[in-house]
Amino acid sequence: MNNRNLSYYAAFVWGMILLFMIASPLPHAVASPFRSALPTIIEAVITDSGSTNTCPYTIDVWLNGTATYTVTVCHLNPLKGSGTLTPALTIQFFEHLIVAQPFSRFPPLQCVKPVSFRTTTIVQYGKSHILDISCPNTDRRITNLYTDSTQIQQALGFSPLRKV
Amino acid sequence: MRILSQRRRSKGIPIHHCLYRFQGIQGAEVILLSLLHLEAIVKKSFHVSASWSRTLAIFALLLVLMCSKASMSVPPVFAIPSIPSGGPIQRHTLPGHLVPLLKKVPPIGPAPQSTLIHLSIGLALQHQQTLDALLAAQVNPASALYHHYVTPQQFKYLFGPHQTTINQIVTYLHKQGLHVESIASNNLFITASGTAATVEKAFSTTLQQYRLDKRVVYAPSVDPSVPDVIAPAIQTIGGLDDVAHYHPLGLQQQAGSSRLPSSSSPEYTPSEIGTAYHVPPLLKASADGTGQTVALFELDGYNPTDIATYRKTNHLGVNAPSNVLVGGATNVQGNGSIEVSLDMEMVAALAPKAAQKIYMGPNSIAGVNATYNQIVSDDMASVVSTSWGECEEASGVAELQALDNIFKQGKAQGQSFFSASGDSGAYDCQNTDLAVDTPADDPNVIGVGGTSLLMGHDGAYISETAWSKRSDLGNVGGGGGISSYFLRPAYQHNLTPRNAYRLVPDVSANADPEKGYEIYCTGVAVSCTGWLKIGGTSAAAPLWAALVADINQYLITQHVNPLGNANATLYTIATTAQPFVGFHDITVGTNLYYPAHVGYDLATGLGTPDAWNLARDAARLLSSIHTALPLPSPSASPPGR
Repeated sequence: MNNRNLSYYAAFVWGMILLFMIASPLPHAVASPFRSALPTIIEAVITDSGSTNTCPYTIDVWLNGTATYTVTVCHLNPLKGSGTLTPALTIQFFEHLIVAQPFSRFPPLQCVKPVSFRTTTIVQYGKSHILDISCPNTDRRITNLYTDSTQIQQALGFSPLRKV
Repeated sequence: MRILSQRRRSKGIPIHHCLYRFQGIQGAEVILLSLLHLEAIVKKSFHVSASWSRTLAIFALLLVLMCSKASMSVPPVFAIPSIPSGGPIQRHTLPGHLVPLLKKVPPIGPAPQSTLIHLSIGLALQHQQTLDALLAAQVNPASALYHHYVTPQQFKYLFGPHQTTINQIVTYLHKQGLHVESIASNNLFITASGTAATVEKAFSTTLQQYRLDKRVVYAPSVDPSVPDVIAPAIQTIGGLDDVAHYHPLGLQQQAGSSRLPSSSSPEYTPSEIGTAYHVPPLLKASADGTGQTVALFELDGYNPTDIATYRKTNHLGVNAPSNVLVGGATNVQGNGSIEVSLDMEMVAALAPKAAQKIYMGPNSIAGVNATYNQIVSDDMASVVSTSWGECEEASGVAELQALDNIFKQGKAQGQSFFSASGDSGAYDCQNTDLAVDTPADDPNVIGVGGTSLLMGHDGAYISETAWSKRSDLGNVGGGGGISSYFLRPAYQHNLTPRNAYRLVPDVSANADPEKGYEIYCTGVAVSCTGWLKIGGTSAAAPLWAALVADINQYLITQHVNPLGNANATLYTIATTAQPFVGFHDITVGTNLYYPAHVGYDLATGLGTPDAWNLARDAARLLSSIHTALPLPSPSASPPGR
């Protein structure tokens, strides 16, 4: 094996090791058997795909009420910001996320939208996600999540509308 | 998910964002695609061979990932700005450091400037309102977050002080000439030391000496202050006084080298006390603590041989405890070691198969903070017992709040803290003022008061009264009353007396030393020579901790989640109609001031346990909430009874 190949393999091995470390999950409930039945996921992500007239955005929401957002494409540089949600909105959102579990019970939702405002809103919680919660629905577990998502976006004070 | 990650790529979301969000298969997919892109770019830009371009691409990608990991490894927080250099520094006073017990005591002079002061600087939690909302949801059966607990890592991540804040404060302490000794793993405490002169200068305060009872103590005469920029991050400067000296709450009654003879003033064996509080059906249902861990908070050491002797004599089996030494403590018997033996033997008596973790720390503010904090940081125990307490007025409110932060973390993790409520009745400061004991006063702790239990033959329950006794040697009784600091928690909202503050105790158990528990203890430092009869709420707290360990195990066998922080569930069981009667409601006697009466009272709380009934009520109550978990119906009558 020549030096070139050696460096390649060394880089690959180190890469895999570091990758494994990086990909290790954020703090999750691993633990004591006395409460293993109810692990708590502390982060959720709301993603809006954007449309002709609106910018795509992503909002990270944490169980402590902190939220960060990134609005892309419409701006030269992604617009980033953060804020703190009210305790009531935070707890309500996570309660609704838990009530809606497992997301797999809901088939992917589809609906007709105005062609120039055809956004898709997705919520990611743990390893599962649900889409498209912005479609009209009679299931309150879904409409609650959409209402929460809208309230969270409004509370953070950014507008997804494209600037002229 | 594939659609989602493709869309993210196409819209130009940074690759680290995609990786972070979609760990696992999706993350790998994105990584490989990114790698191919990078490789092509490297090859084109630097005109190198395929293997070198791949190597460089891997390193470039890893660099990006490492940077993104670093930036994403903490939730967004608003780190405090740096302390401006030059010019006058604005300072902010930190309230709550004056000791209420010294209000009427004149200083006798300044503390010697060379006195070495050990500080335990408690930091404020972040997002406290959201934490309080989460804690409320965790005990609210109507909430989807009911009994959803967090891990210590999650708690630190969500509510702990940010590393930037820690660095800022450490820098300040260094600049002031203080020696920073340690930073707690959950970032809640920084320990530091320095002379009184250094401490006074660093915190713009004056330490005075006072004569308190037979002791000369030091304490600040004015609240400390710190630069404005770090003030919001600091909850307390613990250790500015040495007034609070935690003491065990057990009372020794009788000593002897051989097993105590039966007499008109009997001692209660494990079997008898178990029978009186209806534990045998739990044990017969194999709920003997197996799989549960009870942590004991101690400020002294013990002799392992004593515990082994006790277990062997009472046929409790072998179950070696494990020690956790905190803050430089060693397992050496001092004059409080009888408390350690009592706690360990009480837990062994009623939860013989439960693992015991003995947390031993130094008897100082810094030691107390560090030891409790270690218990929640480790999060190894579902149940914690402490029988070391101090009059609430001996601590400044800043210290009470710092301890409360620890107990909040424990509660958020689903830990139950049981604390003896003191042996001075309604007068915990041992003067004429009504006062309660800390930490039993904390709303995130279950305060355990005292009763006097009369048993018949072989532990048959006959009657029970609130425990108190007046004598020339000093008045004693189960601690209870109204906190002067902590507000009324939700689980006590409908109780009388109606006022805004926390009521103590929550529950109680036999604590009368004349009807005390038989324990085994040897040691010169405590004048222990064998079998003793011990009473006090010191015994009642580990008794409850052991029972809850058994009950938690029972609940798990019934496919029901354990009690977690038990206060809310205990109040619900006691104050609403249940199929079984979980408490002996104590209606006779006083705790030197407050009378026992029907329902909750400040002498005995909700009452004493009927363990088997409590377990079955809890199983039914919790299963009705967690409908998703299958639950066999609890049997209508206890086995063997």
